[in-house]
Amino acid sequence: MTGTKNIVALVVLRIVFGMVLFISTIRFMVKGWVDEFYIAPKFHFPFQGFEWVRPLPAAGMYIVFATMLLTSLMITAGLFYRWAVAVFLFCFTYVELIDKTFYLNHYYFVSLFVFLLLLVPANRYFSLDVLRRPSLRTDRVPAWTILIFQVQLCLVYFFAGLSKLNPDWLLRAMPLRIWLPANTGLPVIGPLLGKVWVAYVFSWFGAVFDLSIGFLLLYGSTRRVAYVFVILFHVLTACLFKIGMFPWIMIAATTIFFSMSFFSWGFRAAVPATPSSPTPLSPPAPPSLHSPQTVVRKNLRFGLLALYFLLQVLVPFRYLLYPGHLFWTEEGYRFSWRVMLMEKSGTDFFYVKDPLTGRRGEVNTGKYLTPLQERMMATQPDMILQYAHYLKRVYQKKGMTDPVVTVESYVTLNGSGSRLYIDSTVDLAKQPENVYHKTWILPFIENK
Amino acid sequence: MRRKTFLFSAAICLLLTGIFFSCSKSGGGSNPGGGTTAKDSILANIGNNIILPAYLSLSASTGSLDSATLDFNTGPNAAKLSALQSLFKTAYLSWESASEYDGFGPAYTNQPILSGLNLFPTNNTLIESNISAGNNNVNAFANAAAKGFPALDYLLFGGGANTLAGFTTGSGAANRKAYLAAVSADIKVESNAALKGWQASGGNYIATFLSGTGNSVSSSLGLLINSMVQDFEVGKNDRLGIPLGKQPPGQVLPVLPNEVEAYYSGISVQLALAQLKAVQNIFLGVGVQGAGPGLKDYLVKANAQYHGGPLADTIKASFASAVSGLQAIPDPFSVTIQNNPAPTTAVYVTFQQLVVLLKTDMPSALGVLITFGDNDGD
Repeated sequence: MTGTKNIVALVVLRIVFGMVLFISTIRFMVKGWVDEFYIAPKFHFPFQGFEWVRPLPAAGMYIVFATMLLTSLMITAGLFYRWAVAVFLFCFTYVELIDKTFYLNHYYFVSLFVFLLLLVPANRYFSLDVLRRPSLRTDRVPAWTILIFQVQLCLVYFFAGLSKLNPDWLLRAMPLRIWLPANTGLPVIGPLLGKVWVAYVFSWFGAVFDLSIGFLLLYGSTRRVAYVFVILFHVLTACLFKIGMFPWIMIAATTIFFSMSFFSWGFRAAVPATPSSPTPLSPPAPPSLHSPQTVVRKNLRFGLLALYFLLQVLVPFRYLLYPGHLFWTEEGYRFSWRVMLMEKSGTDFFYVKDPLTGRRGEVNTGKYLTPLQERMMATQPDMILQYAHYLKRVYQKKGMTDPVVTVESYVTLNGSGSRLYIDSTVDLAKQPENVYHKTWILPFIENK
Repeated sequence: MRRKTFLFSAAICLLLTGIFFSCSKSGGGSNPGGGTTAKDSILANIGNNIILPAYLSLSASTGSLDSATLDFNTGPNAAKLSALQSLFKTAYLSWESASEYDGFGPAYTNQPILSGLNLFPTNNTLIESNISAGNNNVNAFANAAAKGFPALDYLLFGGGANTLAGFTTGSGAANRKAYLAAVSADIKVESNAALKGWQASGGNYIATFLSGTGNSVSSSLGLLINSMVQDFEVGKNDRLGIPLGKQPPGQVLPVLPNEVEAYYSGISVQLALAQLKAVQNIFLGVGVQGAGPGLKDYLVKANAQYHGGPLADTIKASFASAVSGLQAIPDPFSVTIQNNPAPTTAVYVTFQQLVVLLKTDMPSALGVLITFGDNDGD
């Protein structure tokens, strides 16, 4: 964590990642998702503890997205860099917290990466900030400013690989066995994708890739080959699966592993490799780095970073605290780099009963949720509970004093065939929303 | 070093955009060569032998209906009314066999026109006030519940024994005839527009449909399954659920009899059966050429299992039990659900089971996303 490194890797990351943020934000807006995801729905599924995060009216949401566009460009250009990063981080995370329906691992990744960008001086070279204040310019940055991104990426890939070490993925080639045959229309590789053995090859290769790629990128001797694999792997997944910006975000993020010598290789130009021994920052660093409190700040920073990475390591393991089959209950599933592991789908019928009259009716969920919300909720018990509580409030407003809310829910997981998911006799209106195990999730029944 | 930083960043950005666009194209799953894989032959059978004939028959029957309406209006009498009523039933039944494809393609591009032809229950107060005022603009937004088949159902059957008198001796008979003609013409025009959009000689959507392989939401399979499942689920709620009083607060005793489809002509069960069989035919691949490949063949090819047996067989059996259950319910439905709601409630449960299989098991086995919009996954 000591010593300095050439700033170039950080600058390339700032430019490339800033551009990817800009493109994803534009893409999100062009597809009409601001309206579809955050303005149209009557009800949102907030994250636990963030129930106070509410969407703004339409104009406000569009202002938030416009702000993200602007600040992502400012990040790329390195203009008022720290402010731009802070504002982007705030806006992006705010939007993600509104509704867990739209949670994606790579959105979580963007929040984390932008948070790390906030900590480093990526604007101190080749930026508009340097043009404004030439004294900012430096060639060297502390090694930790680059290392934190590398460690973060290693964790992401490694945990993604670890999560693939399960019987469905390795022994049954699920869910790739379902997903790959859909691409038989692709040129060249298309016809192969219908074959079961190909699904096994993809599954095992994917697991090995995820487990090892972080380390292969870390070491100089394997880095070049590893990056070629990064590009090939992510381009392939982009062509095969509907995963949006994820591949591009990862290809952009992994540029942080490049060293100066890699650039000279990349351009076949004779740029001398940077010495690994620490050299003084040149020109003299600005006051912020050399103030009397430097030591305190430094210790504080390392302490906070240590805590941050400790959490990054622990959070994906929290599922061990829950009983049952993780993919079925999804207790401790999010924020753990579990990507593309399940073909899971469900249908549910919600019932509201008035205990005073004994009348029981089936709710037309299409009236309250968008189709996408309904689909995402169908397979996630915490969302089913949130919706049940929402229905309770709706019917209380309609004059029912104590509505009993139950659900008849059928879910299929990796081709298991649909089965009852939630205990249909339990009054969900009375169940608490908390982090404890939800006893009303029925156990997963394995098929032979 | 600065130049290199810039060049390198630019190169990565270019590379990213390059593959981004090249992949979005192939990701769309179009197969210009087409016509050779198993998927294409299923799409071909569904497109050529099921969907196109369904639109053809809708267009033809609504054409006959409109001719009969004009003929009736020249000199209304009992014989012509009876002929018109019979043609109405034929056209309504053919609508039920075409509504499954209303969620995509030319029937949807502007707006889902076909579903606009069957919004029930109809608003007969509004129809009467339109007639009194001589307002025949059935396409006005305000008249959404005063047009299409439900409006004809009311106009041609609503008066019971006095129906004919409304067009002959009743006050405003001329206005009533004009309104009848406007509703019938609208049905004909919109049905014909949907057909033209699909036909090779018209909008040629059939070509787009046949080439849209793959399983994304925008592939033909994705569009078809989404549209069909939505049609079936909405139908389950509207045709059975609401009249049975299934929606909260729920009824101790049924029911909402005047909320049934085709309340006045009393052919609700026939219509529901026609829709159910249309969905079944897409699954089994049964079209004008008889049995061919259908959605079930995708499941067979994918070796999809359901609790230890083939999923295709489970769905086939579920369809069969829904059909036989519904066949045992006598029309008029509005009377049946008041006198003896239990059998219909049982049928409703079989419909729910079928919804689960069609909405969850079938798409999941094929990797098709059930959502009526677009989004990313990870």
